[in-house]
Amino acid sequence: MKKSIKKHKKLFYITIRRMGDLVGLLLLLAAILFALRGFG
Amino acid sequence: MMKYSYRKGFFWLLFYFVLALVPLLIAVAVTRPEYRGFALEVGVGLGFVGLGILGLQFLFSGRISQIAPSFGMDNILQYHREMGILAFLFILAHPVIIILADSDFLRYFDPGENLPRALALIFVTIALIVLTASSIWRLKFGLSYENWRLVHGVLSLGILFVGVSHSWQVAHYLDPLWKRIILVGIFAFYGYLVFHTRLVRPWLSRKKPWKVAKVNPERDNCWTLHLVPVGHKGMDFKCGQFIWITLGPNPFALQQHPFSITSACDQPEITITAKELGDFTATWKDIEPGTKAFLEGPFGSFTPVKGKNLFLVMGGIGITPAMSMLRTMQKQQDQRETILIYANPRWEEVTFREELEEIQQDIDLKVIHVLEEPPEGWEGEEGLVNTELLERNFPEKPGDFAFYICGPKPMQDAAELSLRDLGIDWRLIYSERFKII
Repeated sequence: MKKSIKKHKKLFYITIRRMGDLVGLLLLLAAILFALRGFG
Repeated sequence: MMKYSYRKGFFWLLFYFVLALVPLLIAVAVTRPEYRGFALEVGVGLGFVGLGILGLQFLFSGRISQIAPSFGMDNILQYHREMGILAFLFILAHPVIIILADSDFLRYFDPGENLPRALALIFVTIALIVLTASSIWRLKFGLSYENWRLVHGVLSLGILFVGVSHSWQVAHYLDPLWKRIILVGIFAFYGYLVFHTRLVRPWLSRKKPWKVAKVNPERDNCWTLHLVPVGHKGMDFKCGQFIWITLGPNPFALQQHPFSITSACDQPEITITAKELGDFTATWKDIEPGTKAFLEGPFGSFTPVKGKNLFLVMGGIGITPAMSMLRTMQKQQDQRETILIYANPRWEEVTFREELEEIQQDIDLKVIHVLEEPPEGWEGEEGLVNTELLERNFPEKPGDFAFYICGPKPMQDAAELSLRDLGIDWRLIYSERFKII
């Protein structure tokens, strides 16, 4: 069952329910890019 | 035709991402603000992104009916919750990183230097913590739903107001003036959405009142409210959808709760059924016929898919959206193959069980009762919903079915997991969770 839950979570990670994490990561990258503009 | 799709999901996420970036994009548009070092700029960047997410929380709050059908209401609320935590982290990281980069910025919190600014920033810091903690642990704090709603709305608006004012005052990144005006314009729109939900919608709903025609007891301490429209035609809804109801003469009351419609569609009377669980539902049995009610909705995409048979996994009072589907199918003589797995603790607590037997006579419905504590001599399914149980009762051609789950959280988790293990595409699994807050 534990293995199954892990698989389930992994699958859900790439579905809408977990997309918040991906969007958050991209937004964090955007903030870092913003901070890197001085090096451009 | 499928309602959930990767394409739609991708479109909305891209749309969300771009909108969340708007404050940051405004900051770097046309004129570039003077660069002040990497660490400080990361702190500022997180502040802008956090503000962007915060504004979008008002749009993705689950009350904008145009957005919900692409995902399902519970997914939107789940997303709202996740993004709220993210905004909380980003916004709190904003002062921490800036102060670590240059401790001179601590003076922003110094009441001696600028009292309104210090008070506003201290307010935002505390308000953010209260807002997030009260949403995650509302029940642990013993906060009633009404009070939580009030706190959530007031604090959200307060944080938004201070956030935008702070960006305006600092001005370093939002100079010239047009940048500030655009930012304020966008956030004024987000703020308006709260105003619209809490004031405009109730104002409009007061022209379309309803009244309680009768209150019927059901099995397992459940009560059904029969609501009839007063002076209007009623509400167009799809079976499986839900409404927000306010009971009493005042449409602006904070007491507003979501309930699945249990009646068939295409009829003026609407029924909702609830179990005596919370403060609100405990009062239902004492509601007098003739009591005024205001309904908002319909909401939700937990509705039958055209051309697909139905596999319903329902637990306890989670049966309510399925009742609307089944009653509608019975009324319309819809002969799609339907399998209902209905889990309950005990036989005497199976709400609507007599009516389900009647519906079985009229449409192609197979009801499989699952009891945790079956009576002596019970020959049906027993225990909890799990993969083996679903597999035993699975349709021969699962590809012809859409799958619906509604019930207590443990059952819902188990059923979702089991359906995935049985190879069902997530886009064919519809689940409705109301216990988000």
